[in-house]
Amino acid sequence: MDLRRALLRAAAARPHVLIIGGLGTDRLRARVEQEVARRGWPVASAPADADVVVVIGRPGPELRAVIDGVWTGVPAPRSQIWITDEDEVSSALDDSVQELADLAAQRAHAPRSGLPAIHTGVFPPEQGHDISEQSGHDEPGEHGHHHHDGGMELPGGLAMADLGEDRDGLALDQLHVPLGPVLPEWPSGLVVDIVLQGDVIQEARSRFLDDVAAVERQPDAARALDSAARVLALSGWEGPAARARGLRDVLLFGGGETVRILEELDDLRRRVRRSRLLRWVLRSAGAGRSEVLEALDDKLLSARAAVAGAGAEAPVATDLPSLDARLVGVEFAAARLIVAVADPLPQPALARPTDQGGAS
Amino acid sequence: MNVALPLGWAVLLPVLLLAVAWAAVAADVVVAGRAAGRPVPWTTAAALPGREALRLLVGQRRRAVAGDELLRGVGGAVLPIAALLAAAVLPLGLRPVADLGVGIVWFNAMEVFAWAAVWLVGWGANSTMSLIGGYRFVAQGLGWELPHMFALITAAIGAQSLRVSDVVAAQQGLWFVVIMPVAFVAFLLSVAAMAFWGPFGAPVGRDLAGGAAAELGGVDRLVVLTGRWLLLVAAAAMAVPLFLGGGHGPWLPAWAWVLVKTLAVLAALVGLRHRIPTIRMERWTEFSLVVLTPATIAQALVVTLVVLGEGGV
Repeated sequence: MDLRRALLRAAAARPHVLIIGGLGTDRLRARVEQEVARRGWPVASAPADADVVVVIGRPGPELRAVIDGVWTGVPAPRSQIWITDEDEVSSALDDSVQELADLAAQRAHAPRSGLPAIHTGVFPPEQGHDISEQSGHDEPGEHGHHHHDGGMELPGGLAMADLGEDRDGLALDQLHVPLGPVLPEWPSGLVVDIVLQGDVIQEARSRFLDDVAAVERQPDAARALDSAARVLALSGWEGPAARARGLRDVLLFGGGETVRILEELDDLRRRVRRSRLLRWVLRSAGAGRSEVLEALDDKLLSARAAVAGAGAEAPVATDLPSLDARLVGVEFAAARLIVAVADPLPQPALARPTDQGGAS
Repeated sequence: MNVALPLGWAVLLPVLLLAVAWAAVAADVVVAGRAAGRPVPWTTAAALPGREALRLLVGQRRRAVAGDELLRGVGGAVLPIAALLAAAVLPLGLRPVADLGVGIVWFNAMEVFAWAAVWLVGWGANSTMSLIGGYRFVAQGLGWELPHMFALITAAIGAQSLRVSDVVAAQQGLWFVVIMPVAFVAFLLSVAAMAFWGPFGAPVGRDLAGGAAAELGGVDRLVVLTGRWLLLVAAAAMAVPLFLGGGHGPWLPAWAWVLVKTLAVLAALVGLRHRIPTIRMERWTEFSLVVLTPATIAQALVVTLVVLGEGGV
């Protein structure tokens, strides 16, 4: 028993953290990410990789269902903490380590009835139905197929893939998959329901979970840096991405002089502009992809302008329909970059005269 | 002439590979910390591989609904086994554990198992992200396999033998990297690509939430991640007998030279990794088929002509 406790404690020392938050939780998320990075804990890539699930803000019913689904897919030892205030972050993370190392608590989490079964959200609802699955790529059966009843029930309650024509007119399998809201480097609360063939997106419809009326807006510079960090991380430049996040944290929570921030921003921008490999990787003949690098540079530039206090122009936020249009026909990796660059906002926050409500 | 090491070395080989992989992971953590502007102390980094392994050993396994557990399990297990079998022909000093007459072909055949392994893991998990990860690895494999084979063949032509110990013996005077630099570079690229690591990590990329490994928990994840590092170490170590003179060198004994050179190759790979973005499949296949494959063919041709000119074959 003592050995087990000791092993559990040693294993819990550096947990992988999965952070889930709805729309408008970006500031709190940044605070959590800052603390997690300070402790040297990795950010989990998927529920399977997570030890601690950090739920930030007060998730609405839709997101709550997603969180339940994600939680079933997190292997024990595991811990779930809810953070609603910036002051709680550090103590809540400490508590999670305690819980991970607590043998009795973990026994309660991990039922003895064999391995947990996880629906991975691969399979589509029946054709003709609305593609509105509610979850990320991991979800339990109860959530996975309750709105597309009437179809043929297959083992595990999963339906088969559709057939559809591909770019060359061949009939190939189509998958209906929701992207988000629990994905690495993904905008908070966004879900894009896609029809996928191989790794090419054929249809896309994006929406925000839980209609949030008033969205707290990040300062423009922090928002631009956040989006730039996502693009950099998706391009495989983890180092510069972490630096961009560090700058964002300094902007949001203080702790650095303006001169140093500007210097570091210039340095980052220089690295991005000078990297021939980055240009080569991001450039492509397909739609929207050559724009990624320009948009990245624009974001760093606008962050710099906002920090310097020189005529801060509002960041270009994409609305959901135009995001959908840009996603059709592109490959998965490119689509991820497009979403990271677009950094969409729900309609009310776009300050438009037509108030149509955020999510549809 | 068979010059294999005593059988006891077969037991020692996995230990050696794991030790070098441990060092490589630790170095990778240090370099990553520096790139992110948050330096990680050496002591923390040195303990980190063990800590992560323990975390995964303690962790629960997972299974997906309607997933193919058998395929997934086989795929995961194949990775470390393939790495180990590939390393069997690796001269630890001047002599390998198994001195096969067709050592280079054997090495290549074992490396190709990675194709099946990653695809099976990606397919078996029954998840979109894993499946796309599998697709990506197959596309990547089509890109690296041809230049990789030509690079191997070039070294074999230079030594006029498929036996790895003969290749080492042929480099007593001159390292092959001097007369076949293109093959060496192509080989290093394919090392990272076959281990789906670093710039070639798209099959398990962050954009795919872990890709082929997205659904793995507990010991399953440990086996796949360890297998991947072992594959990288075995392949990087193979660059030493093929291009860097194997155990030949002044002052030090042969085994020490092999170790030093292997660590140097790994250090170069780890150091470069954090400067290079993830290479997307469409870019890589284009580059590989249009530039790298013809370049390695030309390299093989040049080396062949040199060998013929010297009265070989």
